[in-house]
Amino acid sequence: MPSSDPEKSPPRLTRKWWAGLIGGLVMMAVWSLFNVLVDPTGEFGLSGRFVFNRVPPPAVIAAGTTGNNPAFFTRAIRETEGDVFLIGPSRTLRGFDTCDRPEVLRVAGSAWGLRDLGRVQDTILEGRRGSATLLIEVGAPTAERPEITNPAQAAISTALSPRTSMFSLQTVLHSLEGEEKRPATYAPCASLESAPPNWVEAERSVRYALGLLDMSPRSLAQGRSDLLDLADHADQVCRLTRTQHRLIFFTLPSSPAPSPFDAYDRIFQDNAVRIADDFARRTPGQGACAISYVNFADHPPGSPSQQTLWRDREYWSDYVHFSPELGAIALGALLGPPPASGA
Amino acid sequence: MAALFALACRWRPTAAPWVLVAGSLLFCLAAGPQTLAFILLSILGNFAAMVVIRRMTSGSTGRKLAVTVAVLANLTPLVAFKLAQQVVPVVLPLGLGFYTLQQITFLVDSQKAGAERLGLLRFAAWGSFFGQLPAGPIGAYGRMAPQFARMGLTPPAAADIARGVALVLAGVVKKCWLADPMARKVEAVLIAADLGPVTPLEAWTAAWGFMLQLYFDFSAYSDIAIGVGLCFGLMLPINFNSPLKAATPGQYVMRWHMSLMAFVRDYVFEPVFRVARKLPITPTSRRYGIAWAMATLVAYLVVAAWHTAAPWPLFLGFCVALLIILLQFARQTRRGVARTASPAELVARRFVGQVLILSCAAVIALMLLRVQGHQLERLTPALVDVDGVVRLGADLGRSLFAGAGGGLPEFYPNARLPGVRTLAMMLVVTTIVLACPNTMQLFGLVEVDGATARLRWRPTMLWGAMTVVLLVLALVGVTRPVDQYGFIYAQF
Repeated sequence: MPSSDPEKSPPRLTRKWWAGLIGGLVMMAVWSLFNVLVDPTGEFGLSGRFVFNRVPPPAVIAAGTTGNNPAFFTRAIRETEGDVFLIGPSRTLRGFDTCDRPEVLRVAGSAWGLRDLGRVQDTILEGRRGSATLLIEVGAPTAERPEITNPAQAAISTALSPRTSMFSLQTVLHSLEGEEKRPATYAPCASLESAPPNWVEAERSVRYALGLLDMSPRSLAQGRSDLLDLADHADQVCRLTRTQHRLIFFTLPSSPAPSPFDAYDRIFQDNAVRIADDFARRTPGQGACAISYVNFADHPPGSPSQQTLWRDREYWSDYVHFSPELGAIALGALLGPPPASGA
Repeated sequence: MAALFALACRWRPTAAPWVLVAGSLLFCLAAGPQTLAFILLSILGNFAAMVVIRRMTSGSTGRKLAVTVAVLANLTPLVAFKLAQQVVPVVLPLGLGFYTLQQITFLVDSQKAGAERLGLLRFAAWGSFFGQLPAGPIGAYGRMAPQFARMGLTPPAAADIARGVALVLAGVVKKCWLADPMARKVEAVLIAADLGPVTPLEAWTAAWGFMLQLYFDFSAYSDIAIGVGLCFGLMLPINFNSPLKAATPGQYVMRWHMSLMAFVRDYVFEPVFRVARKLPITPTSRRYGIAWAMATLVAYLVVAAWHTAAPWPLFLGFCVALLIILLQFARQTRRGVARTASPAELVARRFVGQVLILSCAAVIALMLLRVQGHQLERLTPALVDVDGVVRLGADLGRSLFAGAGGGLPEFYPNARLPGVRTLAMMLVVTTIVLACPNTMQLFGLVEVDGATARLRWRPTMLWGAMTVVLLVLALVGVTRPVDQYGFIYAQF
């Protein structure tokens, strides 16, 4: 009973209780320090800095690339020899095969919104000395949901998570035992494969996803405004670092035809037109980045024969995700043809 | 703030209530100026009302009338907000539903002979205590006033603070690792129900998942409130005692949100019963039976109305009350009948009874507090879709025993939840609810014996280390990158 109850006096805290508490806190501190120093998820910017965390095993890399945490790509961005960054949501992840383009690093994650894209953009612009090209795929940006965790919370969560410890252990063992000096790659170059589409399931899936989205005019207007803020912020960074980067925001067709989501398609296309208008009205400042927006939403990229493919369901894995063949066409339109093999 | 309070207790005991009141008012201010205004109005208004009431002759009609007017004045904003919610989306001032009831206990209890008389400062400390303000437990004046009268005379014991901190952490762990994951499952099913029909398994996952979410969410909040209370040397009433282990509807009701049920028993049921038993009905047994039924009906309607003023939940509350009354009358009439059931039959009956209680409670909670719009139309048929259950069973049987290719059937085709993982999680959480000791037992706030008594909190090395484990789990829980949900009952 508490002290307010005069009937029973509470037990006194014993030395053993203090020993248990302090011992536990020391263990917690050691455990967190280990996670922070090994930094298998890239959260603390220490990944790859020491002998014991030089080479994460493939399983850790795979978990990171599919884990949707933009922080994981910090090391890849720092170490890549390429100067083109392809950034976007799951469409970018599943639709662009960058194996034959060593100059391109794909940095993408499922359900990434403008907040995640902005975080990646900042990491690249603030960390690179030479100029870079950022290709950023945006669909129909909407008002962002409140941030689930801020960076400080994410750091605490990562430092204390048992999952991080498991990755840390694997990374240390692999780094100390392995022959490799650095990980082969962060962007897996196995060709992207898409399973035969199940259109019934695909329709259900999109309906469910759309149920979670706020596509109201107000939300879309907020998304467009946030996108412009992203571009303005890039300008500021370019001015501060005095490095002129090139940023190309682009929107690709939302779904194939026929699609049961015509209404969504129309909203998507109208919104892309408005984004294009917004970007056309932007006035970049002195020493700013070269920023442009390319609207492929209703005029797909490629030659006339290739443009028809964008409406062909055979080239889509579902109603949202286009195939790597179409991704190659889009990348060709944005960057030109890939370098010849072996070059 | 607990440290400031402890320092005040040690060096300047008269300042201790000031510290608590200042902290509570800051807490209200952080919740919004509306919350602060309402709580200040409630505290000052009720204290002033009691000053006036105490000057009236005890037992006089004028005094009774004044108390009635004061009670109605307390209820008016609550009723107005609840009714307004039916028309426009209105957010209640934080904790309004809880401190309104607390203040009613003050108006009733403080007139009783020998009741503790608190000065304005200590009364404000009781009425605004931030630990329990958002969602209880409802600390009736009669029980809590003596503790607030002694507040500050001795500092809270270190062991109580240690136990309180561990209980707060246990509450946070419950919320983050049990209630919120359930909330995510329920939300997925309800979004699916917004978009189209759902399967029976999905509907029952929503119903039972919401029951578990509600239990862990609210009991987690209660743990945190009681833990905070311990850090200030206060013993708040317990609010949950494993209600889902109940074998009868009565047990279930009295072990769930115990402080509300105690309020309803003492301040609604008993007064109504006292009046109704004077009705001119003979014989006496029938008169008492009818009085009991009337009091029960009113009590359940009050509980339903306290939750929401929507007509459908009120009707459900009425139906539950009728069911309980009928069950009680059935038990009364069968009391004289010799029991011939074998022990196995009794166990089976108990099991079936428990499943029925939990199923009804789950469905009612879902309907009462969670579903809206099309969800109700789509969930209701799915909950009773026997064909769907048979189909799922047949699919499962085929895939398990007939070796049909393609693996297990899809358990959640509309809600898009990972089937096996979701079912495993429901099973684990259900096992925790039905088979494990609750936090009140583990932290020595209710009497236990046997193995649970050995596990109970003590100032040992194990519990010192356990506090750190709870701290780690709580920290990871509140910081991990998933949606966090607010406490459900903080909206009442």
